[in-house]
Amino acid sequence: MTNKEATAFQFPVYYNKEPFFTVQPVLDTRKKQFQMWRDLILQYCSSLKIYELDLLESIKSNSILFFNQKINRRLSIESLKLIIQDIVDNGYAEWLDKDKSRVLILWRKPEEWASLLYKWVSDCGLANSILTVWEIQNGDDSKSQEFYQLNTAVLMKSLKALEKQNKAQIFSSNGDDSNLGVKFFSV
Amino acid sequence: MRRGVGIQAVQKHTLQQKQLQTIGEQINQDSVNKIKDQLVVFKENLEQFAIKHKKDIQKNPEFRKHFNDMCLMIGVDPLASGKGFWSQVLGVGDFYYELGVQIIEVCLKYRSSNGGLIEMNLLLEYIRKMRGKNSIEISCDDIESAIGKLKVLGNGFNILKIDSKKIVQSVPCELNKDHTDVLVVAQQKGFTTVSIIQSELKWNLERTNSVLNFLLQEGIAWIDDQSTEVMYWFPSLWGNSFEN
Repeated sequence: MTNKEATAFQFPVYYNKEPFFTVQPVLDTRKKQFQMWRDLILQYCSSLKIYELDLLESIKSNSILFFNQKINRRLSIESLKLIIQDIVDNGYAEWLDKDKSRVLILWRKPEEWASLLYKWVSDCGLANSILTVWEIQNGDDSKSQEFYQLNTAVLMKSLKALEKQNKAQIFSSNGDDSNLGVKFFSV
Repeated sequence: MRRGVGIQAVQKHTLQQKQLQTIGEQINQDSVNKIKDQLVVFKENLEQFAIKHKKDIQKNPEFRKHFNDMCLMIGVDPLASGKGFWSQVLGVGDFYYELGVQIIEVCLKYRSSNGGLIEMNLLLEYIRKMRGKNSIEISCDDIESAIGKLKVLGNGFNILKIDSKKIVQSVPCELNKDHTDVLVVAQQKGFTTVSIIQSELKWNLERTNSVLNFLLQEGIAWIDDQSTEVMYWFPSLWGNSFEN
């Protein structure tokens, strides 16, 4: 994530307010504050198609999301951890490691991606055919779709959600995870 | 020979007193009746005035305020009831009822970020947005009237005067003079600190801390610990929305 990319993003008014960058000690206020942070982070990641965050790296690199130069306020790594944990608790993110240093941001939940994928498959008449995961991410057919170049981890979660609904089956053509395919079923 | 105080004299005196009292009461009654008559005439005229200027009363907020003031002076409250002549002619009962509900809605929506305090102008802006362009134009006076009506429901709503600003309070916590004094001090910059309060209000540390802590606990203040001294910020004083 570079700060150059972020200039196109329209930050909310509260991003320019100093106390927004200090975790509030009063519980009710903090709840509200975390909700505001959640909205901001999800919107930011969604508009810049960011799927993974490295917490310490984001802080160290002065990511504009967590450091507002204009008012000279920044989130500490401790504050950021609390805020991300809140997003995880709300189902919009998942920790990628035990140390909670990296996180998968789900600005769309896998179930939402799953229904988008399935609608696309039905609309294009691709039901009952086999697609590779790579094709879904990079193929010509999906170029106009929101899930074009979707993060692999997020895509796999979404496909697994479809598998649960008996709408798809994931299989591997050569026994490992490097070349995965998926067959969609018409329901 | 000195004339003694006979029983007759006493009786005569009481009789006189009674007669005087009756006459007095009569005169009183007469003038009350006269005033009542005058009031009836005045009310009739006021009603006719209301019918004649119905459109202005509904459309022009300033005109409406003067009309309301005039009504209140003679004890007619056109806002008090949803039924009867006044609301039939003017529809004002519904108008303030509707406005009251809108005030509650807006205040509730932003309560968690401003602690239940919102500046009058900002509230007005939100309500105007909520009502849309084609509805009756409203003013701060209308909001004050509607809030006056809301007081019937309990002590939930209040209007604070902070310097030149009017702030609508929608939480039932009791703000005393110490609390509003802090808001007045913070008013200009939107924040304050322990040392600013101590130098401006000449309070000792204990009093300062207790008042600031109260405002923090009530969600009215937010803290910011990234300056040389802890800053207490008041979203309700920022004038623009904190949230959008």
